Order: sequence, then structure tokens, then C-alpha cells
Amino acid sequence: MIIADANNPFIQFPCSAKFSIGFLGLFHVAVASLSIGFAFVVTVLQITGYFRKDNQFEALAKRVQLWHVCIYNIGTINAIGLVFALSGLYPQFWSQIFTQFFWTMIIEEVLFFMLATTLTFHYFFWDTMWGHKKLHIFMGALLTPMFFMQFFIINGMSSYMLTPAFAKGQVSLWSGTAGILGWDKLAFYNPSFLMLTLHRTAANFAYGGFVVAAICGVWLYRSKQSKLQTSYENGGRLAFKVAFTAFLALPIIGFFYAWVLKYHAKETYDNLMIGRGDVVAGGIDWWWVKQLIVASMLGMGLVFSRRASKSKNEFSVSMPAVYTVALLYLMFYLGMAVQMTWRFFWGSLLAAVFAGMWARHLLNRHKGSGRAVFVLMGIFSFLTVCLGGYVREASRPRFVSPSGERIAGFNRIPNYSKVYHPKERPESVKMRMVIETPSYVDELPSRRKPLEPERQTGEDLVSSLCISCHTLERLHRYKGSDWDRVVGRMRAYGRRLTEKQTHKIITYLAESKAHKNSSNSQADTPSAP
Amino acid sequence: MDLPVIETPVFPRWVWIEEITYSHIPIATIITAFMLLAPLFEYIGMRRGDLRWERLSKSFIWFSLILFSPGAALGTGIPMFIMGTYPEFWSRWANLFFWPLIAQFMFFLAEVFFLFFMYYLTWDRWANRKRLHISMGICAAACGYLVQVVWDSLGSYMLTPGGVPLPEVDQPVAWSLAAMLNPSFPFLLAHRTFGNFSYVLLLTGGVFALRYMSQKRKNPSSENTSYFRWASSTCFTIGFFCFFPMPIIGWFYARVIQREAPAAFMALMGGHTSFHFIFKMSLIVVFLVIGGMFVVKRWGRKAIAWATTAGLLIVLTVIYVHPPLMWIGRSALAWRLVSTAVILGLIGWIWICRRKDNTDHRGWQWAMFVAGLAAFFTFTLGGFVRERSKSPDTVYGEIVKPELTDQEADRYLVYTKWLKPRKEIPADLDRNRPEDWRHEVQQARRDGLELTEEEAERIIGYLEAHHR
Amino acid sequence: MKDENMSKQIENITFDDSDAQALEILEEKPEVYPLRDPSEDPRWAVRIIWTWVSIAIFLLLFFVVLLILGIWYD
Repeated sequence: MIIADANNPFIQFPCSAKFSIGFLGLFHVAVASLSIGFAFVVTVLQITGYFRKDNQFEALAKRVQLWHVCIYNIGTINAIGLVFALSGLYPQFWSQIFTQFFWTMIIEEVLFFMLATTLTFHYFFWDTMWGHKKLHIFMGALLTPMFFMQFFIINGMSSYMLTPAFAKGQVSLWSGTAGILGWDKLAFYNPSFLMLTLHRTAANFAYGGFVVAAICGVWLYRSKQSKLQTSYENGGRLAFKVAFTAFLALPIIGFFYAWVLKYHAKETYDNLMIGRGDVVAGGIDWWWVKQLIVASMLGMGLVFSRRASKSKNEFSVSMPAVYTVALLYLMFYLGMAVQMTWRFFWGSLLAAVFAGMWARHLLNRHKGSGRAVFVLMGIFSFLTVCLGGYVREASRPRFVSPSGERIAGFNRIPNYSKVYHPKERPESVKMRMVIETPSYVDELPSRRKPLEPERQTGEDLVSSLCISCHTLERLHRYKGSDWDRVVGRMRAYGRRLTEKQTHKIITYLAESKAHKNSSNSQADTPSAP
Repeated sequence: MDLPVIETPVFPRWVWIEEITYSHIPIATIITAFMLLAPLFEYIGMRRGDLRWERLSKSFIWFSLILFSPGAALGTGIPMFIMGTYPEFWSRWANLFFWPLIAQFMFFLAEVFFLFFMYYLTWDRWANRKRLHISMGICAAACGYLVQVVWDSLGSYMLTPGGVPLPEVDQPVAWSLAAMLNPSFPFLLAHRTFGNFSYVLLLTGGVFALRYMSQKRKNPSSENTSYFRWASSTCFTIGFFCFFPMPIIGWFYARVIQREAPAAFMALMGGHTSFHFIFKMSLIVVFLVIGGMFVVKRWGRKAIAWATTAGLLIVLTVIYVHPPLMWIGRSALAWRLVSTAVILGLIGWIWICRRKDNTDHRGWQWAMFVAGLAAFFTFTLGGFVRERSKSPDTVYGEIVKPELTDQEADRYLVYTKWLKPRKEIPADLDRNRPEDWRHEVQQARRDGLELTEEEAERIIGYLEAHHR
Repeated sequence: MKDENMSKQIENITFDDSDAQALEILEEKPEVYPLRDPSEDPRWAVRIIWTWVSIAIFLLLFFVVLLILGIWYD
């Protein structure tokens, strides 16, 4: 294990910096997302218990909140461990992005404290507040908007890393207009911010609910008393209902998220849809694995909901909604199959069908109790959360060096050459932020401007324009050489191109295909003796 | 790539850092002390068959759990704030201590695991497996203490780097044993260990004393009343006696600071933080006097009286070894006589009044609370005094704070280039004030004191402005 | 060693054996929803909760305003 090397300007980490950060990040996300889901589910349980004056929901809520108190600290500590690791292993990246989002991170810290205190008070004052139950429930309900605001803020930074503002995919090296140092409006409210926030909101509620249901499932296996079993079954079904309802929103949000990525992070979109970069690791396309798991969850959830609906269980999900979303899923997968490969469609369909059959078998085996389904859905949900984070990071292109080059493998920049010190100490106690442009701003590197049309090569045009309708795999698979007709057809389908662009694209495709064909034929030709 | 420094609204950066740090440190110290004491008290309760110890131990852990999440959240705010407002310091310091920071994060995780899952949640379930339960508590306490060890090491480096330079932003050292085991580390660790026990238990005793009063008002003969009476006096007594290693530790700590960070030492001893340091000592006197009187009256046993006498004699020894303070008519003899008389008088009073007395009186409960508060403020002043003494350096001799003022820079120059070579202390600046500082400085230069022209001018300017 | 008197000794302290309590209530009287008169709650606890809830709502609104202002100002 190399700790540091005089000739190597980076701190070394076992299993490489990339995977260690990835592991810490996923660990944090798995726990933090669970916290968000727990908070919401506890409120739902408490409100249900209050209106029915039924203590089984209240008791379950208290137990879940106890678990929440325990894991919240793990999430907090993980977050700071991740920050320490980032600041040591990716010093320039971290310093840069932290400066850019400083004030949002400070609000994040205050929210951390507010959440910790509210959560602690909510749990530890449970028994002393029975005379003020509505206040107690309200305090617990406050956790949800607080958590929402917390990940609203962190989503600004996370989504920026994927779609760095309206600068056509180029890394911003300085914060916008330097109006207030530490706040960058365009970076925060970047193109994929809204979709990531919506996606994570629904996904966290789903994840939290599924895990609560899974916990109820485990307790169902362990407990022998019928009263307890009824409580856990009801609690599990309510949590499952919350989770599955949130889950149903995900494909719709996901579709629009993918749309945004297509236009603002095209390489990410390519990597996901084709299966490139770290998305494929160890020979496995992890994006596909996630989709297969999601399809399985849909199949299982559909069967469970049907059974619940037929038995007129009070916590069943509306079947029209389930069928509508299932249909939407089918349409999405059909569309993806048309663009990518039919194997994806059939694989997902089979996964959903088999999972549904498995769910039916398990329900029959446990005489209608959802315990096994709860546990499996909890596990699947955990896997999708981890895989979702992984594929998003894996699909993102490598860091861009200051000169704008994407250098494979060179994804850590070790230092910065100059640190600016303020010349004067702020006078007395008055509001003072950097509201005027600092004197050194001209010396800082500016945002990289997009290439002028004249400087765009054929390859640039193909990878930026063709990809708006289909993947590049089509180009690679096309056996013909009549590129002028192909491009003409694309223009007829609606792709707007100038004459110059058309000419460049056709030339590039013809040359690159010819080069490929000649190198293939050279390989086939036996070498001369 | 260039790294800007973020300005803060309303207050300068250092004020914000101070407030954020102060929000975290009391919580962290209380939790660490409680976690170390809880398994010990539980063990005592098990051996003696006395359930009061068990109840006290459980209440320590329950309170730690309430404080843990908010405390941890506030703790994460400190490095986040430093990263933005002191970016160069953070980058260089995190370069040096990367692996210790990762290690403390692992210890923290382990601490949470043992404290929450293996110690708190299993308390009733493992009621018949006490030894196993206590061992889990010891594991939690050990992990928590290791977190403190790491942070004490990193913090003490900032005052006494011990010749290990702070690396540049592009020098990823990652780990340095010499930096971690810097000269003042063992003393800071010992100081904080005993200090935490002392102030936390004194404060806890004071709070329990108030609870005892309120329980007594509601129901004088209830079990709760007798429990709080016992808990308050037990915690207070233990906290009182935990204080006595502190003068010895403090003495050696000060010696290390004198050798390794002379400017900071001068700041403490007569310089710009001496007022705060003396105020801190006064608070110590307050809780020593109240504490000594209380423990002797409450328990009445000879052993307690002897232990208190021994502790006070330690304090007297330190006073004697310390250079005499010229507060009484500028006479060293007068100082020694008065301080001896006070300490011996207190010892005498303790032996004369050594009998079991009614310390259930309201006055005593309030006295205990006041003593607890005095101990708490003593603790809070510690960090403040240390950081201010070190100012304007963030890491002594390695990096200054960005908002350095001319006055701070000149003061530092006076300490290091005027007082130190002449083997004087800041108090001498007023004691031996000359008619004309300019003449004094020029004469010193002629006598061999090495100063550049600019340094001489700055020193003269400072002395004329502050010691005329 | 377990002591049945333990719970009596600690009656006025609000720490709890959550699992045991939840199980007790669920096992014996799951239908009981133990609401009580507001005056029975300890005043210090209610005051703390009200104070904290007020602070939390204020801070939340403050942050929302900041984020909205951030859309206009850069």
C-alpha cells in the first residue's frame, strides 16, 4: 500500500481513490436515503394511528424512530468521512466545488443540526407528550420538509457534477459572476437539478417505506403472538402502500431525467444506454441490472397489490394506477428496445413476469401474509438505491483538466498554484460579503467557451447531433456505405443540419468506416511470409 | 487553479469559527466523559449490588444518546466551515493528517455501533449478562476515547508543531508520526482527560443537586429524593478529586509551551491572554473552595479530609515552584506568604470543620451548582485562551491567519524579537518602563540585539502605543 | 442482575425501555391509545418542544427565502 510517493503527487488509497470514494458515497447514500424514508413513514404511521386511535401504528412508529435515531448518526459520520476523503484524495476538485457551493453547504450543516435535534426530541420525548399528541406528530412531520430541504441543497452540487450548468457540458472553473463568493446560481439550478430532486424524493420515500415493510416482514417471521403478527402485518402493508405509491412515480420522472441527460450530458446518456465506461464493470452492465431489478419490483408489487385489492385490504394501492404505470413501463422499454437492443426488453419483461410468479407463490405459501414479499422488496429497493448512485457516477465522463482536455485515467488534479488572501480585515461588525468584483477576478480562468461551428469536426458533430435521436451503436452496426443517403434520410426525419455540417458528417462517416473496413481486411489477410 | 478565501457576514471569520467550535466542544466532552464513566459505574453497581450506580450509569448513557446526534451534526460543521474560510490551512493540514482523519472517522463509526446497538439497546435484554454488557460499554468508551486522542493530537500540533513543517498544498504527506506525537500532545491529552472528568462531574453534581431540591419539595421521603441526594454528592466528590492531577499536568504543559511556542507562553503569562488565564484560575479557586468545604462536610471521613489536604498541598507546591507573582506590593516574599497562608488556612479550616454536617440545606445545593458552573466556564475558557495565545498563527510558526492585523503582527514581533532574546516577560514592559522606548531599543541594538530597521520601527511603534 | 424495582426507582425519568414498552402495550392492550389531559404532561417538556418547533419553523422559512432569493441574485 503506497501512502505517498515523492514522484506521485496524489495520496494513494487502497483499492484506488475512485472506488473508495464510491464506497463511502454509496454507504452514506444508503443510510441517508433510509433516514428520509423513515421520517416520512413514521409520520404516516403516527397520523394513521391518531385518526384511528389505534396504538399498533403508534408503537410501530416509535420502534422505527428508534432505529432512525441509531442510523442517523451513521449517516452523519459517513458524510464527514466522505468529505475528509474527498479533500485528501481529490484536493483541487473538492476545494473548487466546495468554494462554489460554500453557502449552500453551510445551510446544509445547519439543517443537519436541526434534523438531529428534532429527531432526538421526537423520540426521547415520546412518552412525555401524550397530552400534546398533535404537537408531537407535527414535530415528527417537520422532519420531512427538513430532510427534503437538505437533499434539495445537496442535489444542487450532485446534479451540477453531472450537468454543470448551461455551459454545454463544460466544467465551470469559477463561480458565475463572482457576485457572492460561495453561491453560483447557474451551477445550483442546473439542467438536471429538478429531475434529480424529484427522482430522489420519490425514490427515498419508496426506499424508506420498503425497508420499514421489510423490517415488519422480519418481525413477522420472528414473532409468535397473533396480536403482534396482526400489528406487523398491518404496519407492513401501510408502509408498503406508501412505498409502492412513490415507486410508481419513478418511471415517469426517470423518463424526463433521461431526456435532460440526453441534451445536457450526452456522454453520460451514451454510457448508460450503450453500456460504456465504468457502467460496465466486471463484464456486467450495472444499469441493466438495476432495470431488471426494477422490473422485478414492478412485477412483485403488481401481484401483491392485486391480491390485496381483491381481498379488499384497507391498505391496497389503487389498481388503475398500478396498471397505468405498468403500461408506461412497457412503452418505455419498447422505446428503449427500438433504440438499443431487444434483449433489454425481453429480459425486463421476463424478470417482471418471473418475479410476479414468485410473489404469488410466496403469498400462497404464507397464507396471504406479505412477509416474504416485504423482505424481498426491501432488499431489491436497497440494491436499486446503491446501483442508481453507482451508475450515475460511473456514467459521468472523467474530470476535465483545466485546459479542457478529457484525459482518460488522469482524473485527479493535485494542486492549485495560488491562494488569495484578503488584503484587509473586515472593519467592525457590519454585513460584509463580496458584493463587488474582487480585484483578482481577471486573473482567474474563465468558463470554457463552446467551439465555434467552423471549428467543430465531423466527429464532434456526429457525437453531439446524431445522438439526439438514437445511439451511436446504430452507426457502428450499419454495414452499408451510402452515408449521403442515410444522412439525407435523417434530415427528412427532422434532424436540422446546415450544408456544411452535412458534408462534414458524411465525410467523417465514410472515412472512419473505410478505415475500419480496411483494418478488418488486413487482419483477415494472412501476413506475407 | 487559484483558491479564493470566502468572506463571512457580520463577524470576521475567526469569530464564526469560535462560535461553531464552542457549540460542539461542550457536547463532545460531556459525551466522552459519560461514556468512559458509565461502564465503570455499572461495574461498581454490579460488584456492590447497589442499584443506584446502575441507575446513574444508565442515565449517563441516556443523556449521551440525546446529545449525540446534535453534537455530531455540530461537529461536522467545524471542518466544513474551515474548508471554505481557511482553505489554505485546511488543505495543508489535511495533507499532513489525511490518514488520522480517516482513522478517527472509523473510530467514530465503531463508537456509534457499540454505543447505540451493543450498549444502549441491549441494556435490559442483557440484564443477566452484565459482564458482556459492560464490556460493550468499554468498547464504546474506548472508541470514543480514540476519537479524542486523534483530535487532541491534531489540535496540539497546531500549538507545538515540534519541528514538523506544515506541508504545502501540493505535498501529500498523508501521515506523520512525529506530527501526531508532537511535544504537547501527551499533556493536552492528559489535561483534557482529567479536565473532562472533573468539569463534567462537577457540573452533573450541581445539576443533580437542583433536582434533589425539587424532588425534596415534592416528596421528601421518596426514593427519587434519596437517589438524587446520593448522585449529586457522589458525582461532585469524584469530579472534585479528579481535578487534582490538573495542576501537575498543567505545569508540565506550560513548560512545553514555553519551550516550543514561546510567543504563546508569553501571551499567557503576562501578555494579551493573561487576563483570561487569571480569570480561569480564579474560577478554579471558586470551585476548589466550595468543593473542598462541601466534600469534607458531606462525608466527614478522615480519608476525605486527607485527600483534600493532599490536593491542596499539590496546588501549593505548584504555586511555590511557579515564579512568584508580584501582585502584592511587588514583593515576591509577600506573594509567597499570602498564598501559603490562604492554602494552609483552608486546610486548617477543613480539619476543624471536619464533621458530618447537614449539607442538605438549600444553600449547599446552590453552592454545588455554582461550583459546577465555575468548572464549566473554566473548561470553556481553556480553548479560548489557547487559541488566542497562539494568535495570529493558525499553526504556530507555520501559517498565519488570513485576517492578520498590523497590531497582532507587531505584538508577535515584540514577544519573539524583543522579550525572548532579553529573557523578559510581558509584565516587564510595564514594570521596567523606560522614559523613551526608541532610545531603549536603539541601545539594545547597539548591545547586540539583532533587529532589522523595519522590525525596530515596528517594535518601537507597538511599545509606544501600548506601554507608554 | 435484573431488579423488578428498577422501574419504580426511575419513574420520574423519561428514559425508556422502548422495546419492552412497545411489546407490553402491543401484547396487552393494542387497542389502547393512551391519550391524556394536556396538563398531565410535564411543563418543562412542553415548553422545550414548543420553543424548538418555533425555532425550526423559523429557520426553515428563512432558508426557503434564501433559496428563492438565490434564484434572482447571483
